Amino acid sequence: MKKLKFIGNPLLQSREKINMSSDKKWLTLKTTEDNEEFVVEESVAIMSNVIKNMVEDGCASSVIPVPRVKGNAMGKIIEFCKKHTEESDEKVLKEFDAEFLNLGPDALYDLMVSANFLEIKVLLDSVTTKVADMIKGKSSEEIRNILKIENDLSAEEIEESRRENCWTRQE
Amino acid sequence: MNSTSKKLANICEVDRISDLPDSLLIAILALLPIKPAVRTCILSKRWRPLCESLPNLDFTDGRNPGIHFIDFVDKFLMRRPNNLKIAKFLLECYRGDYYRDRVNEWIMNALGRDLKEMHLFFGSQTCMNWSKIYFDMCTSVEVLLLSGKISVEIRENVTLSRLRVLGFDHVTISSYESIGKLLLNCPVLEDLIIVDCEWLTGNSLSICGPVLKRLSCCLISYDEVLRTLIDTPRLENLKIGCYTGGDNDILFKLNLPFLKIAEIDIWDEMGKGVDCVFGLLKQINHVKILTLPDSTVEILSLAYDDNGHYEFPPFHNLTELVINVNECFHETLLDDFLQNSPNLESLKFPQGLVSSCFHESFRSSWGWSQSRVPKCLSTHLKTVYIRTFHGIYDELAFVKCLLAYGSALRYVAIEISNLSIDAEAWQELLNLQSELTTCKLKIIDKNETCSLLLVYHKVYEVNFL
Repeated sequence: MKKLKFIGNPLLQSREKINMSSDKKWLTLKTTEDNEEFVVEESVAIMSNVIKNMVEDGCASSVIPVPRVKGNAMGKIIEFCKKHTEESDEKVLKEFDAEFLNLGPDALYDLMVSANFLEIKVLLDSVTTKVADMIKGKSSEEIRNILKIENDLSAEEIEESRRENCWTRQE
Repeated sequence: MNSTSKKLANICEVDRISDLPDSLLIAILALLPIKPAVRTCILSKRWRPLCESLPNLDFTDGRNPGIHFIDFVDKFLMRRPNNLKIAKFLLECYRGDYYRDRVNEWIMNALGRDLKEMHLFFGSQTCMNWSKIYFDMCTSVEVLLLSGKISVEIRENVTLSRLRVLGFDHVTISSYESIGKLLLNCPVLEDLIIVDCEWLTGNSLSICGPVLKRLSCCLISYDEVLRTLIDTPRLENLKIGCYTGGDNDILFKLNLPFLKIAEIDIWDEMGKGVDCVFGLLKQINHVKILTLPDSTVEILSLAYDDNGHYEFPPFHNLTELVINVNECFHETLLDDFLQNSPNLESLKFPQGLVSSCFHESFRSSWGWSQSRVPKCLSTHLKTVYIRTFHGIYDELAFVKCLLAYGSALRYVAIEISNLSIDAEAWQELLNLQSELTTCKLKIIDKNETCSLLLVYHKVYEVNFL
């Protein structure tokens, strides 16, 4: 059974349904991995360069298939895009982003990959900055712990890198 | 924690970040300072080669270059694959003498990689050369900042079609005229900084910029006569400093209709320059924010000795006035400004209210023409900042006047210059503070970190912020 999602305040759903017949354009995005459908305003959807190109080239039918992005990631992305289309106050957006990106590494990677694939620059920049902040000022050991990176370098390789870049150890 | 609760807590169990494509990992590293970014090469095999593709390179020799620094820059710049672009290249050389030749090679290499932004600082005993051919290679550059011991050869016939920000700071430039010719070929320039440069020849500086928004120009020319012509119809922010000895002259070709912020720093040792300053003020009298350094205030004060045949221009749009004092100034200058600025909302005194001469008979301080209170004081003036307050009679009198007539005042901040202020003066300030109803009087220390409180003649620091 298909799930039809209205993104927005549920109390406004009836008003939105009325508005659907007005001149606001609406698109349906369907994640092909798990068949979830999302109805969004075109102005929100075109924050994705990929979707924007499809719309401009005229090859967007009423339902746009979106591969590689899972349903829950798509929902979050639309939430982000909607806020950034509606709100113009820098301060408010900054606060929203901080709250929005308060996620674990797994969810952040999903967002990053999806934002990269859909070419949503604002979202990609925000997530990239968040991940960079997570590792800023941390030692290599600490970074490995946070990002769960396994050290597969040999002692010689590490020593060689250290020697080549010893300027980075000077203050 | 068992694996279920780990999943719920969204904690990463496996290394997923290394699955991200190179471009995204490099984008993350690009946001770190270069040293930590490069150190990630020891995280794992996956991460090892990534730092070699960093788009922004930021090298500072840290005053102690040595062979390690040179090797490092060589590795990340010279041994970088040829087709790999660089977006930003920042190089700060404090001991440039040791490796001047390498620097020229590094600049050539960086410019050849579709560079967008270059900042170069060169500190050494003798100048390095910024050759004409570097300008030829700057066709993709959007930001170019050169400062320090650099001798710049200007290329006069290459179009820098992307250049938005250009800065020359303490560098040596061949001639004033060459800058004029260079600027003709910068069609999208928005920011221009020319500060404290040395000039080898010339007497005519022509600054033209059809879309220039911000201009910061500080010219020192003691020996030569300099004519400066500024043709920047869309300028919003102007900071100009120059010496007016003799016939030095600044001319604006047209009005600056979009000008909002201005700082006029004119200095003169021979008691001239009044014409120049008044001339400038007349041309920028529509600004919103005006800063006057102490040298300009001194020159303006000279106008009063001439029996005041200078007409003060009206400042209808002025909302903020920043006025500095040093050795001497005429007491009614401030009053004249206020009389002519009916919409003033903010008044700032970064160097305090009185001149640095403490001997009473020589000291200058601001006075009011008691006959007419400036209109802005009772209708618009909201905030006043006073730094280096000593607590002497003249200062207290000024503050009392402000508070008495300032019906629109909401916030007055007074920075005490040293804590050994006279106890009586303290008491007066506190009395004023307690009497106020609509206005807040804040007494702060130099760092603006805390308000000061006087209890039984002892000063306590109280953290309110």
